[in-house]
Amino acid sequence: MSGRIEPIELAVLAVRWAIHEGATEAEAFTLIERGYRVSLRANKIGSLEVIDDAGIGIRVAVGKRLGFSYVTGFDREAVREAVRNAVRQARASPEDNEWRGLPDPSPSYPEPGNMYSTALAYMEPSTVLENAKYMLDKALETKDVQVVGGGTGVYVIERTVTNSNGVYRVDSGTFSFAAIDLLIKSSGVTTPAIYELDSSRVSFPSIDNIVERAVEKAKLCTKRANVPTGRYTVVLSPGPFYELLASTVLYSLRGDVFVQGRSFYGDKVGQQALSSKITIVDDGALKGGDNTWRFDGEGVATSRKILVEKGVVKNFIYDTYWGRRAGKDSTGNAVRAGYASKPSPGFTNTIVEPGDAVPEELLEGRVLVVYQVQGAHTANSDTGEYSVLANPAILYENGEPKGWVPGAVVSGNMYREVRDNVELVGKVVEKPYPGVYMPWIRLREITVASKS
Amino acid sequence: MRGEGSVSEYKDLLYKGVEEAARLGVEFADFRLEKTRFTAIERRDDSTSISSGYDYGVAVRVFVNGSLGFAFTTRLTRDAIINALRRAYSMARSVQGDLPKPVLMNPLEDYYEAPVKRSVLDTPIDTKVKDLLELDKMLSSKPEVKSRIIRYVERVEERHYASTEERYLTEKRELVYAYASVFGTREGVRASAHIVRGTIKGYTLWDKYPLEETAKELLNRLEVQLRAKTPKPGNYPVVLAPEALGVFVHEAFGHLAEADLVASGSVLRDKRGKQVASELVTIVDDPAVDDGFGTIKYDDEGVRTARAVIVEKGIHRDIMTDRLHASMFDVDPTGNGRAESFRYSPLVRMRNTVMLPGDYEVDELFRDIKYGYYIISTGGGQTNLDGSFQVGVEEAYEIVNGEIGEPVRNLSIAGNTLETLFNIDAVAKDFQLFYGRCGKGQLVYVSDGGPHVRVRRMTVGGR
Repeated sequence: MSGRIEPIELAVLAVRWAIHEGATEAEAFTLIERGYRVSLRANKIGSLEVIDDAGIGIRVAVGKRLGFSYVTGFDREAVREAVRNAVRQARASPEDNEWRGLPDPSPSYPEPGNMYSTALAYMEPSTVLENAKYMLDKALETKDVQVVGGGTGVYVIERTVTNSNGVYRVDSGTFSFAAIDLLIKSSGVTTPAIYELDSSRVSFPSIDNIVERAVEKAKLCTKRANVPTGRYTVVLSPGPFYELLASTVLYSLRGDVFVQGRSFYGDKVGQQALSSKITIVDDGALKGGDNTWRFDGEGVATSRKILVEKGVVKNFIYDTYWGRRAGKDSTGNAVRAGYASKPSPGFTNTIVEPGDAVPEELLEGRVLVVYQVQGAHTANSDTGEYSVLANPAILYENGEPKGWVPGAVVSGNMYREVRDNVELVGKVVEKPYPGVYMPWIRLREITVASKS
Repeated sequence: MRGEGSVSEYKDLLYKGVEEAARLGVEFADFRLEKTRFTAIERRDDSTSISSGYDYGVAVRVFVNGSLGFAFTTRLTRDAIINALRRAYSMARSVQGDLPKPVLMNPLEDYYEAPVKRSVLDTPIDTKVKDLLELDKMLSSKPEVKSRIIRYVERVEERHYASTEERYLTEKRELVYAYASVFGTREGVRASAHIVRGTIKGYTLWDKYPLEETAKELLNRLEVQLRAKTPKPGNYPVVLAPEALGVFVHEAFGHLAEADLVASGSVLRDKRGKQVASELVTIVDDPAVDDGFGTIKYDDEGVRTARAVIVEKGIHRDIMTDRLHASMFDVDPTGNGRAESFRYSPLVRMRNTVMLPGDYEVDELFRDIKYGYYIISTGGGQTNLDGSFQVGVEEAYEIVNGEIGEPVRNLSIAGNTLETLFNIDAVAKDFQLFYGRCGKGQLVYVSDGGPHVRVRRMTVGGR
């Protein structure tokens, strides 16, 4: 049994072992995630879960040959074995002529603030459970509501990065979320399941708001409306707007995609490739941002960067490797999906700046408001083409909801539509998913196929 | 080495947990010790990187007081396991829940290794890299191809299960899969295509799907995408090829038959014994399909897996259950309790979800169609509990006067699942199985598939 060791110390040892095994460079990333999660399923409390995960990911270079290995837990012998595996794999790998080394320590690191709260860090599981029960009971107060799923959770996260160039960083943070997935089922009519979520780094989200929003949206679906196939003015709520943007525009703003020649904006840098109403920012140092940390997955300082400014493409997001391939610095966007993954360019906190349209202006005339979509991930990243089920799409006439239009398939081309079809961008910013800050958007002339 | 020596070590370790659980007086507790060795080789244009991982831990579940407590640890020691048990117990005991008692089973000891033709552990990494580089070379031979991504993944999975029912089970298998995608341009037209290959028989992927054939198929898909035009939106007759049908069966229908979603109000609730599809349709979730990603002997609740006949000649029969839901619905458990890893509590998940073949010849399906679409492959889909689905289509063709015509691209098919199942008026006699992963908050490996089918009318989204 090895004695308890601080993760950063183990990471330093791992780097030394790697060099000793023959690596020319090495990096170790540790992650500890602890917390409690309570799930809701089918109108009941589902499971009460204790989270206690830890692991280390080791990246090595032997000259220009790269290898990566990870192991769960911090057992010394297991980590030593992982280091040996990483070096062995590097030796078996063909050379990557584009490799230009691990990052150096950044000259300075931001102090974003609002990343950690003791209230969340020391929250008792009973509190998490009480919040889940409150959410369930509140949702079931409304007649005919069925709670499909959802849950609450609190986490404490500690992460470290160290490498053979002297990067040595430690960070910790807290996170909590509450989510509900519910529908209304009465006299043979089942509304779509409506999903609402809220999250915060420092306090427990407001359960009342989440439940009220979900129930109101489900109620809109209890009346039906019909529209013929045709072209419509469509208003995307923040969730669908983000989902469609993510598969297309945001994908094309990734540095690795750009360097590989796959970005739609590859030949449009500095050009007005989107509507002047659209400004897109990635900010890894956003105060209280769900994805905020002082440093990215490689230990590079996080920062705010404008990717699209009033429709003009300015920047891509990079980690060290892809940045250097493009002749640029890392933008602090090396993202890892946990300790089991290598870093690669990814978004931190994604922000689309609000416009100036109030809700009344967004809903003027006859519009289809899309509250949720199914299939946004099937959009074509290379061409921008998408064809998704709007579920629900609600018909509005002069600001009044007229009913749910079932089976409405919305299709088009996102790259073209964010350039040519933007009528208005809303004033109110919402957070449909953790780390995603988006307004509403009104688009003209969008093809909608309906069942009738 | 794959031996049984360590099995008794793990059994002894988990037994200590079982002892403690019995001492605490729980209704039921189970322990799941998982060890997964993972290797991936990724090629992005001219860069290759090799990753590996060793993922291990123990999950504990406790049923007490009508509640389910769950905890896990990444340390394989008696103290860590007992500690996790106590924390799960304390969570569950703190609240009077209203979950049904899980179905309990008989004592059992079993050891099962899924048969493998050539273990991934016996194949050197150099061979695997060489094969991938060869595939890449073939893919980059066409001038239209501007960028390639190939990802090879192998998992050696070892699961040890113990419960207060005195069930001690060990199951091992190897899972291999490859994903390849190409991006190309020609005369200003941009397109991409992808392909997925899988097997649980070890490092036999390229015997099952020879490299040249795989490259040829993928390049052909790209070619079709470069030539394709946009379809008109509307309602049309559609022929679904096995790959697209598989996604439809899994995505549009399968989720609706998962017991937890049925309990939450899926459209299949209250439809047992009723007609939900054309009488030509039989859909099963089968844990014993040869070489399927969902082929397992025991699920992650230590339940012996059984076939779930979801639809038989149009009539809805079984739903897929785990212990809790089998109890809730008063049916035999089907063994569909699966978890992504020890970090998660099992949920009702699919395994190999397929439509059974029928009697028609494949070309008979096209004969009566004046204008419609032939859909081959997809980019996935998404369903809502109200029975509405969307499936994004990758490769498809027009059908004009019974003949396969020009390629079309980037359409989706969407609609109401049960309506669509009623509209199936021909099921062919062929069959193919496909490989992928399914997300429901946590990922599991699944297969889906079936024959060619004809649907009288589907909503096709285009421009």
